[in-house]
Amino acid sequence: MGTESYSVIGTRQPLIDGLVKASGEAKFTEDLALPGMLIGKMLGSLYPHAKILNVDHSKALTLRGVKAVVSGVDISGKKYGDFASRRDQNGLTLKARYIGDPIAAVAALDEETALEALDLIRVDYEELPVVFDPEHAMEEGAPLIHEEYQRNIVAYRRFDFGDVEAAFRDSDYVREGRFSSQAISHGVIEPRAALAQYDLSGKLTIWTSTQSPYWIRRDLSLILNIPESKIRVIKPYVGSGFGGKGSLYSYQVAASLLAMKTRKPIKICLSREEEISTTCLRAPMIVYVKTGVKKNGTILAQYVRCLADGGAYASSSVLMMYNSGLTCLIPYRIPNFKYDGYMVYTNKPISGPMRGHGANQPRFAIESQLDMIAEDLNIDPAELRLKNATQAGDTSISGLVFNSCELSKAIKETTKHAEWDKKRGQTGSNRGIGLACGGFVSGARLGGHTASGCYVQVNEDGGVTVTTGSSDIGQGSRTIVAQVAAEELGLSPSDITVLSGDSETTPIDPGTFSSRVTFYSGNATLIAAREVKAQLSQIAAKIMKANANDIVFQDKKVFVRGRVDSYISFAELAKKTEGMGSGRLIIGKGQWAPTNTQFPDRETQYGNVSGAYSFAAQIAEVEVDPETGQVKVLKITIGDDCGTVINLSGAEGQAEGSAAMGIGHALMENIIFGNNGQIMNPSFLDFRIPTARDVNDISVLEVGSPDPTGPYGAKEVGEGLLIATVPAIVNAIYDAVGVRITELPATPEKILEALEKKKKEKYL
Amino acid sequence: MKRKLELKVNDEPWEIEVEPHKTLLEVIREDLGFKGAKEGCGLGACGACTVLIDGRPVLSCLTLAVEVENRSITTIEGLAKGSQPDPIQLAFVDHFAIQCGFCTPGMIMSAKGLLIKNQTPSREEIKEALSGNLCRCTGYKKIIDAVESLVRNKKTYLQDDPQK
Amino acid sequence: MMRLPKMDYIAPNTAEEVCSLLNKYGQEAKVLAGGTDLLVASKLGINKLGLIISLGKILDLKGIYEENGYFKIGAMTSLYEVRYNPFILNHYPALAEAAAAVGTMQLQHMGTLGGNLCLNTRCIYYNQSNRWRKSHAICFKMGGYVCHVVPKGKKCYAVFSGDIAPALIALDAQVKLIRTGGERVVPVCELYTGDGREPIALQTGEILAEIRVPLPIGRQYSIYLKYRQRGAIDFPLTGVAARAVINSYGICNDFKLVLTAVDSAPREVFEARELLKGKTLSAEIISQVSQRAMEGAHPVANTSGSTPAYRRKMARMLTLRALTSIAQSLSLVGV
Repeated sequence: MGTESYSVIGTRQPLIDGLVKASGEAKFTEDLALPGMLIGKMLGSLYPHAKILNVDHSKALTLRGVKAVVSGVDISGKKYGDFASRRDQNGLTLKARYIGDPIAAVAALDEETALEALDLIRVDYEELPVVFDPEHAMEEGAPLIHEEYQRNIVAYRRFDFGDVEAAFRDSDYVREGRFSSQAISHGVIEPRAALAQYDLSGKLTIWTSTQSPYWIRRDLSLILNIPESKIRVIKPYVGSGFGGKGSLYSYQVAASLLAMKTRKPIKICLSREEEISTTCLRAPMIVYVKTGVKKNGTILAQYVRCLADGGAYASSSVLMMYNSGLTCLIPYRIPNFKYDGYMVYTNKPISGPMRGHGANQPRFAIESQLDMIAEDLNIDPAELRLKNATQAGDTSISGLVFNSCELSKAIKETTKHAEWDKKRGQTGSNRGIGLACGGFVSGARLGGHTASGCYVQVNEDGGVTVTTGSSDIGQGSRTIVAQVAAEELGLSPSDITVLSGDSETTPIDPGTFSSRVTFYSGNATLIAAREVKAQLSQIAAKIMKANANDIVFQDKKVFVRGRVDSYISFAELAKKTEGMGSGRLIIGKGQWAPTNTQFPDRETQYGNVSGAYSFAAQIAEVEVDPETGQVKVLKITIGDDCGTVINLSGAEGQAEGSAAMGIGHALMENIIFGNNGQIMNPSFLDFRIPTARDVNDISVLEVGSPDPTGPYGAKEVGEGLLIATVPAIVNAIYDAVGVRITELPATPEKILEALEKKKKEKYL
Repeated sequence: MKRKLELKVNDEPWEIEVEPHKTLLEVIREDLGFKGAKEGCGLGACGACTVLIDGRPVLSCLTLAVEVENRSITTIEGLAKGSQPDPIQLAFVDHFAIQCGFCTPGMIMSAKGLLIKNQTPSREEIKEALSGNLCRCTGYKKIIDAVESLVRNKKTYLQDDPQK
Repeated sequence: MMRLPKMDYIAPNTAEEVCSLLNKYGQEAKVLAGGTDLLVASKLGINKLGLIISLGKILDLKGIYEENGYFKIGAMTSLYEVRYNPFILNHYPALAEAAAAVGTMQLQHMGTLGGNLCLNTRCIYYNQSNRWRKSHAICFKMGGYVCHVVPKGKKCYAVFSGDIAPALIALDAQVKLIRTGGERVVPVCELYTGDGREPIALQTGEILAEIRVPLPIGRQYSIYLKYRQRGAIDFPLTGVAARAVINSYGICNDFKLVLTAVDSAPREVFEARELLKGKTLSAEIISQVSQRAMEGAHPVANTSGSTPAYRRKMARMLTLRALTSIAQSLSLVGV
């Protein structure tokens, strides 16, 4: 494949909304206000498991300034949830399933009054037996959190490809182990908020901090029992989501209900405590892995079993547990693979999608185990990866088709750049280097996953408006689609206006999750832009008396190939076009979903779930203080295969952000649950995400080659990267001081204890 | 009991009536309409509410409005000179030091506070000055690059670009 | 948005006015220094204040100067100023390091020396919102009868988590406390009751006006080391301040070792003083002193992250490193 030379694709493109954000003018949901607006506040359960017998808000309503109170009895619609098969949320619950589970909401003239009113609401609870541990929750006789789910198992996914038992028997070496990953919060800096308005015509409009206006619309329609066409969801600027802001949450239901009841605009903003304790977390997971290899390190078989603590509600359960298994098969060739993935309800806050969506936890386990195998067989861990790395043209045993893959290149380049050979195995230096690989889907299509749509319209002055259904939550999707349109039409991204995130005006789009946006929306924009280009080419051909196929759009000029000097500007062409005939509308329409996917078979799960897969190799270099167990991550080197890079700065930004997030997950982040299932550290002081001083050197190497399906050959970037960071760090710790952490986070306490144990054993 | 308060915000005098328990963050956002400073946590642990008082970066969510009468308060809205962005703002945009943008106003104000006191900070000093501003998107590297570029007056990311 | 409860506010011009207001309103009123501890507690509903008395206008509480053998620092001096003051950097490095270790740059600009000394003790069950605490019985510190951390505990074990106190105690500093009709000067260590519930020994109507650090006599070395999980923001999980006065033969004439975050008050390790006085800073002595530090540390599991056992180990480790650092400084000057 030859390297194309593009004008805009592949450049370092600053965000088209960068200056709006840098000026403080970008409006997030909490910044919005409407005349007559009331403030809403949520009331959460004090008990981890209890029937809500009665919510008496009579006293609250007598407080001056209080306008309305709603609770579970005001819900008239059907339960909702991320997936149709697991709709278990009522918005305002009639049975509390975790401490903080929203029961009621108040609307008042101001926030202080609303808060005071909360204290005046009397809730009669009937406490129920609790269960906090997923293994106990699965036992016969454990309290049922949702009656319909036997043994509290909300999702079970299994794969069984090839014959793992036979392959284990044929293996020269088999290793098995148990690993665990902790609960963490997304740590989005913008707390969630919603501003809802309901007018006399029965139209609900809601501005909210979301990754998916259409999911919000769909689920609001269900729970409020009003048609989708009567609901408009608008996404203002969103302060990141990382997967957690796609689902409908109680506060959005409450804001809508209160707006309907009071017929006044209602704004509800979550506090940081509510953010951490009443929105979803990364699922804590126990992962059991067994891998069989030949003595040269070739993988013959792998069995992975995951037990995810799902918390009180299903959220993305079925997809998450599917992902946990599916993504095991992306980075390496595994000829025999078996997977059992369980998600179990417990009386704790909800586990939901978070960057990597179930892939991170098994990846941590597998990459740790591969390093253990490498050591036992005296093979270099990088060599072991190379030996098994997926190659372009492969199809996995589960039917995943890898049209493009540069994982081997990623491994080779990162090991070279990070001086792998030199830095490995430096005994006594307390420094170590570790490697891990990962990979992810570019949007998974498991069934009926809608396409992405786009309109491109040329304005009279030569400006172009791109209307996309995609949701920019900070990852820069607006800029990506602007780059695509600009590339096609020979313009610069600053000439492009991007409209997005309004369910009433932008084309339907599932939203920002599963790393689908560049892939799907990028392609949709490409199609729409090319349609516009074709229309304009026709006009230009007429004007310049040439063949439409010979028209070139470049540097804001339009000309016949080879005759750049007799050009007309794009703006002139647009003006001329509008004036021709009856004033033509130049609009292109694009709709895209990959056609090279295959919905997984219901029984076997065989199928190609994504149009393309990203790959990554990450190398972490750490320094461990052997007397304290404290770890400093000196450098992270990332080899990123996201196919063609559309925005080089954007891709790097994703990589660097994922490095920081991985440092947090590996070393310092931990949601602590008390004996009553309550989150003990629902603050940014006590739930510790990395600060600028906790992140050091990061190098990003782009190693991708164009993918045949992605727009300009681009694939996802951002999720596959994060998946590899945690095991790279943990492997590096082992290389540094010989301590193998199998339960995250790798705290100084654990490392020091292991070091002390090693010292003792040495003297025995 | 509301009381009269004279505030000087972004070089402009403001006369408002506030209750004494109102924080500076509440007042600038709700009374004065400056929405740039954000509440990320409300308890002093994230820095999203950072503004400058007499050139010093402080957390407006933990500052009483009545305490800062007659001091010079600068918010993100006060950095640009007319329609000309401050060099810090341009550096942030050019270096892709912004993703979702929520931490950006506070981050820029902390950077500004640093550069007011120290025009040639080292990379470590920049890191320390910004370590009270949490960012979940960027990993901080491009933010520090952006501030560093103002010190060295070159585009650092191009210089260290492994693509070259 | 996190809002403060309604309260009155007054900003007197003199310390006398502050004291008389405190006398008048008792528990209902508190002084406002930097606000970084008080306002957080108010937002969480831990405090129920009728009146906030600002110290911001009182000029007497600011200012740094030498007088009568002491280096005097007004209680309202910001941590930022303390950190970068040339005299402090030169003669009291432990104090500069402690100020630099507090929180973040913003918190250092806002926070004051006096305020950090008077930090309330902390506990993972206490520093939570009203709503959060409703899921538990009321604990000792909130006026109840139980400790959630120590099973069957009979008292409050909330941990003192300030960085400045150990440094100032190690430096033999004193505080001037002003009340209506008088003042008293006490060693910094007497500011602390040792009670997790009411940790600060200020009498009603009393304010902390000034910190006085004796001018160093002879070769004085001091250092403050802090352990926290991240490189910023966090309170100490363990902190160690050490001060040694070493003569030109390398003999330690005076020594003080003070720990923070291991008890309900800053904790001086008295045995350390005895061990070192009259001796040189040998590796063996350093090891013994560090061991004493660990034995003198009694943290409980009331922090978010870390364990009491680890924090005790860190008390030893930080002491070891603090003393080794002082020993290295000595060898650099040929002692």
